[in-house]
Amino acid sequence: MAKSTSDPVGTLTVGNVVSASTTLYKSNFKRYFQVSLRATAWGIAIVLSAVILMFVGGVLFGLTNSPLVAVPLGLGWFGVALYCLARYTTDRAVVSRLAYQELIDRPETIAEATQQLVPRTWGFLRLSWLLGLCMSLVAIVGYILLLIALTGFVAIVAALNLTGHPLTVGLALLLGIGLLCLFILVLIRYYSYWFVAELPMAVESTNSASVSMRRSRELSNTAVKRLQLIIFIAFLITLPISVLGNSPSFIGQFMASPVLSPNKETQLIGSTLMVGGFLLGMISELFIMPFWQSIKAVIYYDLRNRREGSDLVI
Amino acid sequence: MHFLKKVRSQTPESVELEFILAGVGSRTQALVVDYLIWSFALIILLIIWAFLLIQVTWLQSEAIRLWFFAIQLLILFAVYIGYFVVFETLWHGQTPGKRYAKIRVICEDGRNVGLQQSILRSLLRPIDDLFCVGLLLILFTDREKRLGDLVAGTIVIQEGQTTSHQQITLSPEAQALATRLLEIGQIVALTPDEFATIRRYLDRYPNLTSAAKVQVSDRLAQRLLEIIKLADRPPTLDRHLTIEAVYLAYQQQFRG
Repeated sequence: MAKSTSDPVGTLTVGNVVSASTTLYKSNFKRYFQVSLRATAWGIAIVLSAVILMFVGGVLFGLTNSPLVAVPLGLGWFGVALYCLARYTTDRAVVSRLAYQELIDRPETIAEATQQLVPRTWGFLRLSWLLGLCMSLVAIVGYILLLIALTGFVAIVAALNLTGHPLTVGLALLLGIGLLCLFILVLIRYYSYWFVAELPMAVESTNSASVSMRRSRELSNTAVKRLQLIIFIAFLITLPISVLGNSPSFIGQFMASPVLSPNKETQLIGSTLMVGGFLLGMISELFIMPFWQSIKAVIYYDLRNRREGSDLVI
Repeated sequence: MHFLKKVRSQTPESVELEFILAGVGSRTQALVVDYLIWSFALIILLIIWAFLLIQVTWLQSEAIRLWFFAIQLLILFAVYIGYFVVFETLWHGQTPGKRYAKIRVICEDGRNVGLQQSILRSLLRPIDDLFCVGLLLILFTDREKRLGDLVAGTIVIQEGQTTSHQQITLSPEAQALATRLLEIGQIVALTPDEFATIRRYLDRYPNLTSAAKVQVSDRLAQRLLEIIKLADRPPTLDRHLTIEAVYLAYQQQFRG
C-alpha cells in the first residue's frame, strides 16, 4: 500500500487517510457491518435485560411483597449490563483489528479476530472507562481554569471600577469567546492524543488500558494537528448520516417538552418522534461506527509507519 | 490491496496514462479550504455593500435599493461560480483548496480542463452540494464523479508524485564510508526498490521514536550488509551510518 497511495516518504496525506478508510470500509462492508450489528445487539441486550428483570422483579414483589427483591435483581442487571458493555467495546475493537490486518496484508476472518480479542474483553471496558475518566478530567480542569480566568477578569474590572464601560464589555466578550475556543481546542487535542487508544490493545499483545493509552499518546505526539484535521474531515463526511439519524429525536425532544409545547397532541407526536428517532439514530450509528473504526485503523497504521518505521522492510 | 482507486485514460494520441483518483478525503479537504476562502470573500463583499448602503445617500431610495439588491445577488452568484471557474481555468484544474490538498481536475482523456468544463462543473456545484448529492456520487460511482464531473466529462486526480521536499541530512563521515563500500561491497546487487526503502528510512529517521531508530536501523543495516555481501565483515558498527553510506554509494554507482 505504501508505494501506491502515499507521498514519496511512504506515509499517507490527511485526505488519503480518510479516502483509504472509506475504500477499506466499502470493500469490506458486509463483514464490518456484521460486527457492527453484533455490537449493537449487545447494546440492545442491556435494555432488554433491564425490561426482563423489571418484569421478574414485579412478579417477585407480587409474591413476596418485599422491596428487598430489588437488591439481587439490581445487582444481577448491573453485572449483565457490564458484560454487554464490555462485549460492545470489544466488537468495536474487532472492526479496527479487521481493518488493520487488511492494511498490513494479513487479513483475518471475523471469527479469528473475535477469538483473539474476546480474552481482552474486560481490558477494552477498562480502557473505555479510563478514556472517559481522562477526558472528563481534562474537561473539568479546563472548565475550572476557564472559570478562574473569567472570575479574575471580573475582579480586575471591579477593582479598577470599570464596570459597564463599553470597552470592558467588548473585552469581556472577546475574552469569553477566546477562552471558550481555547477550551474546545484543548478538548480536541486530548481527544486526538487518545484517538487510537483501542488499537494497541486490539492488535498488539497488551491487555493494559494505561499501556494502550500511553502508546496512543506516544504515537500521536508529533502528529496531533494532522489527527485533528483527519477527524474534522471524517466528521464532515459522516455529517449527512448523523444529521439524518439524529435530527428526528432532537426535534422530538423539543416537541415533547411540556415547557416548549403545551399542546398535548404535539407532545404525543414529539414522543413518537423521539422513539422513532432513537431507532433511526441507532441505525445511523450501525453504519457510521465501522467507518470511524476504519479511520482509527488507518491512522494507527500510518502513525506506526511514521514513528516506528513498521513498513521499512527490505 | 490498493486503497485509492487508479484509473487509466487514453489521450487523443492513443497514449495510455494512469492516474490515482483524488478520493473523497482530499476532495472534502479541498472544498473546506475553498469554502473558507469563498466565505471570507463574501463577508468582505457584504461589508462593502453595507458600507455603500449607509454612506451613499442616493442608494437609499426604494427603487434603487431593489436594483442594488438584484445586483448584489448577481455578484454573489458570479463570485460563487467565478471563484471555481477562474481558478480551475487559470491554474490548470486547481483552486487554492485543491492546491492545498494536492489534487487537480482533468478531462477524462488526460487534458487540462478548459473554460467550458469548468463552467459546467461550477454551475452544477449547487446541485451537488444540495442534500450531499455530490458526496454520495463520489462515494458510490466507479470513477468518483459528482454530477458536475459526469456532465463535464472530468475526473479529479492526485497531483503527480514528485520527489520528497524534505532535505536529507547525512552525517559527515558517510561520504568516506560510501567510497569504501564502493570498493569492498557489491552495491550493484541493490535493487531500485531497496534503494527507495533506504530513501524512505532516511526521510523519516528524524521523526522515528528513539526505540524505533535503534530497531529499524539495526534491521535494515543487517539486511543491506547481507545484500552487498559484507555481513561477515561490516566496515562499521554504527548501523545508521552504514545505511547512510549505502544510500550515497548507490547514488554514486548509478547516477554518476
